[in-house]
Amino acid sequence: MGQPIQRIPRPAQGDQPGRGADRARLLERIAVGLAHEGKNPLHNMVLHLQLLSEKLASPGRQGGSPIEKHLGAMRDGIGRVDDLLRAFGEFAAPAHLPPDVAAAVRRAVQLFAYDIRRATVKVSRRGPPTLLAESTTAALGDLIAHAFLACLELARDGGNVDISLEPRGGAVVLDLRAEGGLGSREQAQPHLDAVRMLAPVAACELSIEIPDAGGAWLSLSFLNPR
Amino acid sequence: MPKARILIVDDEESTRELFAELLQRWGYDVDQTGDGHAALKIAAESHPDVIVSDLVMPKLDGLALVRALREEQPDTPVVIITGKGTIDAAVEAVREGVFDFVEKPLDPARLKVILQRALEKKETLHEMHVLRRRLGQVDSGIGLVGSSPPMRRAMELVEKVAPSKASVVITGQSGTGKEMVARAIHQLSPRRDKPFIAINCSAIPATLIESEMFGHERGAFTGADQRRLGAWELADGGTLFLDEVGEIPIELQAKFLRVIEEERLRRLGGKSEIVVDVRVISATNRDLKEEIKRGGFREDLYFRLNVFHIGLAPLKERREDIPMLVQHFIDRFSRDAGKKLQGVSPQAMKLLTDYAWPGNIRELRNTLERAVILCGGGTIEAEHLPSELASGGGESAYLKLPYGLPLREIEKEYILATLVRLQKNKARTAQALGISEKTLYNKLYRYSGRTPRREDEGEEDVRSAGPAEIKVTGIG
Repeated sequence: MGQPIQRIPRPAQGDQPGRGADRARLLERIAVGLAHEGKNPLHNMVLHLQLLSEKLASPGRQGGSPIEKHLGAMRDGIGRVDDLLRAFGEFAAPAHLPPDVAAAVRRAVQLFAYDIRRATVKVSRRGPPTLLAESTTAALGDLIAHAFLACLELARDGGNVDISLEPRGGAVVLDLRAEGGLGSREQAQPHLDAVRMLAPVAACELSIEIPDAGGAWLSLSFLNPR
Repeated sequence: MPKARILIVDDEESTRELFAELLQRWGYDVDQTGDGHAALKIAAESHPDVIVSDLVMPKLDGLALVRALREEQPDTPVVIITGKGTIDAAVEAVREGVFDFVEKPLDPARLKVILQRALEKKETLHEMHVLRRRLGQVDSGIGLVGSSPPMRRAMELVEKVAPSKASVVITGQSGTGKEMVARAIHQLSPRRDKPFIAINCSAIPATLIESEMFGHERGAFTGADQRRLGAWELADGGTLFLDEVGEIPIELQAKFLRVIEEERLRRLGGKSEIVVDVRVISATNRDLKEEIKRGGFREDLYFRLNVFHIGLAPLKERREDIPMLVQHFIDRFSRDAGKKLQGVSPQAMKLLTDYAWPGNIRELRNTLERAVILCGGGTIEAEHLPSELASGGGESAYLKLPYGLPLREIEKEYILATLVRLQKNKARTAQALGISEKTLYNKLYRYSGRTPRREDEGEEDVRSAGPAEIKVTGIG
């Protein structure tokens, strides 16, 4: 199942044609989702704040959740919004970040949370919290984002996307499997094309299997930096 | 009063529970669920007054829930809460039948107002159903609407007198539905398949009334170039309704009496007598006994016409019928206009029930016909009603005139304004002004620059022609 290490290319230098436009489309999609997703914690915070103010205004009518719970939940909400904004900032300007495959996967799942919910796809993720690869951070982020979106489109309407990440010998291997759902290959195709375009830029050896019966398996292998 | 019940649908448990706690604090009973399918089941079992749902949910999202509810529970308002606050999304939601569309993060004050409005709508729809059911019970196909004691009494009398051939006099203010009652008597009588001929005696010039009523032969008078059947003949076998019967010229009343007594008539210029079988129903808003005393109406004709009497109360004395009449007219006019109106808002209904309705049901009918035209859809609001309803009174409105106007002009302005206010009903205008209809006609002729006809000339009672209630305001 693993890929021979010697076949994994080194990171390419310079921009591929069309990368700028592709990145702009990705950022737009993330921004739209973020504008929606960020509102959920804000919405909850407003509800907590309203309850809190009503309880403080009429101490005789406390009842319901204790004050501390509202305060804790508001702190959590602030943390959620902060996480989202941080993830977006890192995705948009990744130059200063290390090429961490685990972090890129985490960001993709976080930034496409709205798409995941709209597509009614169940996403599961396994692997270490950090796993560096020999790659360029910007290309790595975009590559993983497209690979994830391709699986999301294929598993749309009730399917699953299973993501596993592990070091295997001298390589870092990321497997994405899409199963079930009623998604279409047509919707997934632009993302698969982008994955193929970005793989050499990100120093990734790519293997894509799309069975006729549906679903997909994308395997992305990177060199593990020594 | 039971608490209103709200169903919250949101797949995010923490939001849902938080929301439930808030709404409970606001005094509502709350059910909650995490998906649309379960929401449908709960809605069918607990009949919530309002449903508040998130838009994006797995399985069945907010709009799909609205579509499903439209079939099952079309009267339950659904408020959608969404982070996707675009105009397109809102338009789509409203098109799907969503009551309102709230963007995240929520504005609690706005939500409070929306929930109150949604509950008002639910209440309005409920009342409308109740009214429709009651309408079905009281409007038994004869066009009479109402369940107040005066209306029930009138309906009882209609049902009692209808099967006979007895002449009926219907009295009541202008616009109280005298012709509707006459038609109801005809419809409930064995004559229902025969003609119902309605004649407004005040609308036919005195010179024409004889030929209109009795018909004429060719050449009977100048211009009679062919034979014409009169109203009596046209109503043969059926019912003749004589509206404003007090306006029949005294010199013709003997002829009317003879037809009623002998059931035969002779056309103008005719040689032979024609047998007719006509039931006569008359209506008047004048006191015929007073007219008899004045010599304007024959007593023997009065007794012939007034075998049975039905008095109709003015609308302001049977206000409890107004909601039912409102629903009746809205159903009728919205059907005619091809609109889907759900009724009137509580504020509009209050204006309608509080107003004095000097023009009675006719004025109410006209008001609602206008409101249906102005209302694009949904419910008729206060803004769709004439502004004078907001002043509440009808009879307490003022006429503003500038200082320095000659008395004759003041009289003219006042008479014309009263006429317009009373839907150009001359009989009621004369009554309101305390002058005879003849005097009113003479004045109107004078204002129009035309010469009154000879028969219109008569006494002019100017004692009470002056304005009873004029608010004179300065203009300079």
